[in-house]
Amino acid sequence: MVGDVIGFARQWERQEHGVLWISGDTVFYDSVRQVADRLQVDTALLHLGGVRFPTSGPVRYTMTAKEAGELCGLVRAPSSRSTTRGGSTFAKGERQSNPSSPMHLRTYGSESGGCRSASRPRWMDEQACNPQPRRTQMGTITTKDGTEIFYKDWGEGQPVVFSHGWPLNADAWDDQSFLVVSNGLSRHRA
Amino acid sequence: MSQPWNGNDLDTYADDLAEVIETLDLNDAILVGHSTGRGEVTRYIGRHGTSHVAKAVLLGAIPPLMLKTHANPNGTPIEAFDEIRDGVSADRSQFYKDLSAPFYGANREGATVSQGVRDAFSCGACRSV
Repeated sequence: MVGDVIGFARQWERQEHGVLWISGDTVFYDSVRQVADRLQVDTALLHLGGVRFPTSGPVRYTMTAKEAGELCGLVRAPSSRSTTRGGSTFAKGERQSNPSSPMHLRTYGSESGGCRSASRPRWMDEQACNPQPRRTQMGTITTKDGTEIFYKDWGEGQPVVFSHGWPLNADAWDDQSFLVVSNGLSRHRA
Repeated sequence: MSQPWNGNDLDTYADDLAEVIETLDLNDAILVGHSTGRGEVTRYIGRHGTSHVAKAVLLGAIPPLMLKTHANPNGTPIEAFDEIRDGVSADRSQFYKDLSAPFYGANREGATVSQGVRDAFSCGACRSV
């Protein structure tokens, strides 16, 4: 499901302000950050959505809008460029975290699950794009001291985090979680 | 999923919650805590701030201190905690089965707590602690 980085940059004659950089589906890591040093970017096409899949829990396969904002700051074009060329397009529900960046930014997908990528099999698109049935998943998070914490992550939208008491576990909140998801969304943990 | 011997204190619980919130990238979150979970939510806000938090819902008090002391005269006496320790040590299965009644107020007059809810409590308690 995951391979080498698939991003690339295009350069052609009469490009005045730098290259066209297409990130491809990638997470935000050092090699992506280094693009800022290695390339003069005019326009970036970033693949976002914070895509995750039930089989791999919290692991992401694309960048979030927040990370894209940070990346835009890193690859910002020179100040000689007119800011009137700005015009950032963000997917529904995403916040524009760096409105001063003069870069052109397009996003693939949405905060709620990242859809449609030519580099991905159709079944993955369907899994990522189709909000029905609502996403239900569970998994564990390993903390700094090595403890694994169980969580359930149900629904979409504004997160509601339930912390149970002694001597219970995450199941104690199943009734409340179902109610909240039925009316909007919820996330919850053990 | 771990059942760690160490770190069973509110500072660690709060830091665990912080790691969950950061790992799952939760923002504008509504935190709901019950009992010990309420202590976790308040300690989390104390240690990690409110940058990820929209609202907090606190159910069943343990903060600021559950134990009865001179400075906290309305707290629960240490004898009650000793009783819990003894009960868990002696016969944990029966202890949790019995505890399910006061936990949900099923021992109060007019209570309508179902057997299913009580059984789920005993079942969850034996698995988790």
